[in-house]
This record gives sequence, C-alpha cells and structure tokens, in this order.
Amino acid sequence: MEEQNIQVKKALDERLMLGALIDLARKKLVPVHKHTIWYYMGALLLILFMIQMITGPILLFYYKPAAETAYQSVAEIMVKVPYGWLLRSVHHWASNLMILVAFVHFFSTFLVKAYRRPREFAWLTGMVMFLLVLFLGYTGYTLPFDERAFFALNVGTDMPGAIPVVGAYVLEFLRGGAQVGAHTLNRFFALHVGVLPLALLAVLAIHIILVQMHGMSIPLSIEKKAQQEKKKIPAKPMFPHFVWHDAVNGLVLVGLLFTLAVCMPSELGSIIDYLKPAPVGVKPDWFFLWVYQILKWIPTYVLGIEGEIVGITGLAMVAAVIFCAPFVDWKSQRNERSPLFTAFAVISLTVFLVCTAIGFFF
Amino acid sequence: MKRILASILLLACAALFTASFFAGAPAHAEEAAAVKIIPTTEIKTEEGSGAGIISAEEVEKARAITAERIYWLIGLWLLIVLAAVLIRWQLRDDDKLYHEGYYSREL
Repeated sequence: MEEQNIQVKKALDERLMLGALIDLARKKLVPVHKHTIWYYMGALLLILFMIQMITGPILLFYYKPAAETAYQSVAEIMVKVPYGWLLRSVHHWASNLMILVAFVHFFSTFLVKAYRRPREFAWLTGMVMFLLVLFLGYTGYTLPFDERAFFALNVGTDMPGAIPVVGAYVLEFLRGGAQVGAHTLNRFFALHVGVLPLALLAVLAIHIILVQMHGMSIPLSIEKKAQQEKKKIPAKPMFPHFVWHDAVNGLVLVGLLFTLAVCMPSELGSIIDYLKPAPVGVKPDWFFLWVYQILKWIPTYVLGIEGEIVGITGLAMVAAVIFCAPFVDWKSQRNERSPLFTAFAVISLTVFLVCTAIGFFF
Repeated sequence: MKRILASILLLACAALFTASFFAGAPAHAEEAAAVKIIPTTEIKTEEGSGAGIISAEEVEKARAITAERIYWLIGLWLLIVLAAVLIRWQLRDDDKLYHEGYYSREL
C-alpha cells in the first residue's frame, strides 16, 4: 500500500511538479511579529474572489441581461431556481465582504507603508485591483435592474459626468446614450461579467507573482526595533504554518458568509417606473457612502465653480496621491519614518469611517 | 488515535450534512411538470394574462428564514468547527516542530 502511494506521488510529481511547488512554499518565509494578522487579508480576498468566480457563472445560467427581462429573471432565481436565493445571497454577501476586506487590506498596507522599495509595483497593482473590486461591486448592484439599481445608475453615472473635460464622454460611454436605459444595463452587464473580472484576474496574477518574489513587507518600526536590539525577526515557513492559518480563516469566513446569506438574503426592490421621480434620500451602496456624504457637504458653488466638480476633482487628487504614494513618500523610500504620510493615512481612514457612518445612519 | 476519531466524526457529519442538503426539497422548488405540447394560441393567452410573472410577495417568501435553513446552517457551522479543530491540532504539531527548530529560519 505504502509503495503504491509512493508510486502515485512520484507519478503526480513528475507531471505536475507538486514537490517543486511545496518546496517553494516551504522556502517562502513569513515574518512573525505583532502586525502579522494583516498578512491574512490577501488570502481572505483570494478566497472571496474564488467564491465569486464560482457563484457568478452559475447565476449567469439564469440571468437574462435585457431591460425587459432582467428583473423577472432575478425574481426567478430567487423563487424558482433550486437554492437560487442562497446562490444569489452568497454572491451578494461575498461581494460586500470582498469590498470590506479590500478596504481593510488597503488601509493596513497604507498604514504600515508596505509600498516601500522594492514593492512599488505590488502597491500599484493592488490599487488597480481595489478600484476594479469597487467597480465590480457597483456594476453588480445595478444588474437586478430594480428601482434601487435604476437610481444608483442615474446617480453613479452622473458623478463621472462632473469630471472636467472628459466627463460628458465618460457619461455617454457608461450610459450608452444620454439617459439611463436598456443600453446602460447592457454595458454594465458586459463590464461586470467580462471586462472587470478579466482585468482583475490579469492584475491579480501580476500582484501574486510580485508578492511571492518580494515576500511580505515588514513594518519599519519592527525592522528598526530589531536593528536596535540586534535581533533577527523570526519567520515561519508559508507552508504548512500560514497555509493552515489561511485555511482556518477561510472556513470561518465561509461560515460567516453563509450565515449572512441565510439570515439576511439579498433583497429585490420594486420594478422600475421610469416616470416616477427619485425618492427623497436615495443613497448609494455602503462602499460609496463616504463619497456621497462628502459631496453632500460641499456647497452648490465654491468660488463660482460647481460644488460637485470641486468635490470630485478634490477626491480624484487625494486618490492620485495615495496611488502614487511609493513615489511621493520619499522618507519611507529612504527607510525613514514619515509622520506626514502616517497622518495622511490616519485622516483618510477616519474620514472614510465617519462619513460612511453618517451616510448610513442619517 | 484522537485524530482518526475526529476524522471519522468529521466524515460522518459531512455525509449527514450533504444528505440532508440534497434530500430535502428546496422550499420553493416545484415538481417538474410532464412534457406536453402547448399550442401557440395557449401561450399567447397566458402571456396576455401575465401568467408566470413573479410577485414581490413570492420573492419575500423565498427570502424568509425557515427552521430547515437554520438547521442546515447549524450543520454547516458544526462541520466548520470540527474541521478547524483538526487543523488546529495539525498546527500545534507544526508549531512544536518549529520551536524545536525543525524548519524555523530567521529573516
């Protein structure tokens, strides 16, 4: 029996090079320190992405992407398709959790300055993926084509319309015309099931390769402390230690996901009435509430310029600074403490949390 | 020995859980009708009367939390906890090896 096992192992190893992969994982070391918990976020995101890649195509078997049929096909998924309600709810909650974990991953890497040399490109690919995940969430929200989706499409496509110079073109490109209608749904469907997931897969591959090549980033404070104490930072092999930890985290995540899906199945709003005016207090999904709240606070005109244009330009500039953090945070690049960028990260996190909470409760 | 017993328990739970998941009819699944040829005129009459349109009440009914769903959820959590316990045991062994310096290294 044992000899047979060895033979099977040998045959598989020869063809799939499993031994080489395990060796690689054993050689890869993960630093162990007080911030190690943040290293688990990437694996959680990967698990959630895989859940989306499984549930999404199954939902595609039943979803009919046309203005006349989309709403009814989602209702059919909920009512007629066996376990359709569960499938749709798991997809919905996995998307929400994915965005939540993406925010945690982003802020944790930003605060520990994980973009320091030589990880600039890992940061850039991470930021691109973050934007893609947000757009995937937004485009998915609009696909049931119910009343909420209709107003979300109107408000959401209106925002890029305020971008100076190119705004009008972006708005028309997204809507497929001047107004939100059948063409808009087609475009959002194409983006959600084709363009965005493919782009995410491509960038994800590059990101994973870069993370494997450079290893995990160690926070500057931990590095300095180890240098002062003339101690080396302990590390454990990726396999089996961290793979097992990721497995436990993944199991708990799956449990949480199914609990949310069973206890709070995803809703389906009312059918669209094109003649109905937008209800008072219509809000975007939670992950864009902070943008909505900031824009709400800006007066209609600021120094003679439309408030919305000022707000969107300001937010775009902040996003650009964060995106280019590895190239503008020179102190971190020189492995020195950079209190300015720490303050910037803390303020960004506070603004995000406070604005989201205010947008949600008021 | 403990690990073998836990594995057997895990497998038994998995079998029970899978069986209960597939044995029970879904809350809103309907018995498939026998194949029959429907004349075109009949289809047109049905379309005209709005048959087959799912109402908001039906969607809400599909979203309801039933006892069956809660039992299923409890079964799933039991499986998760058991699997997590097994993995923790494995991790404890690996950590022991790590502390003994079997495969620890420093950066």
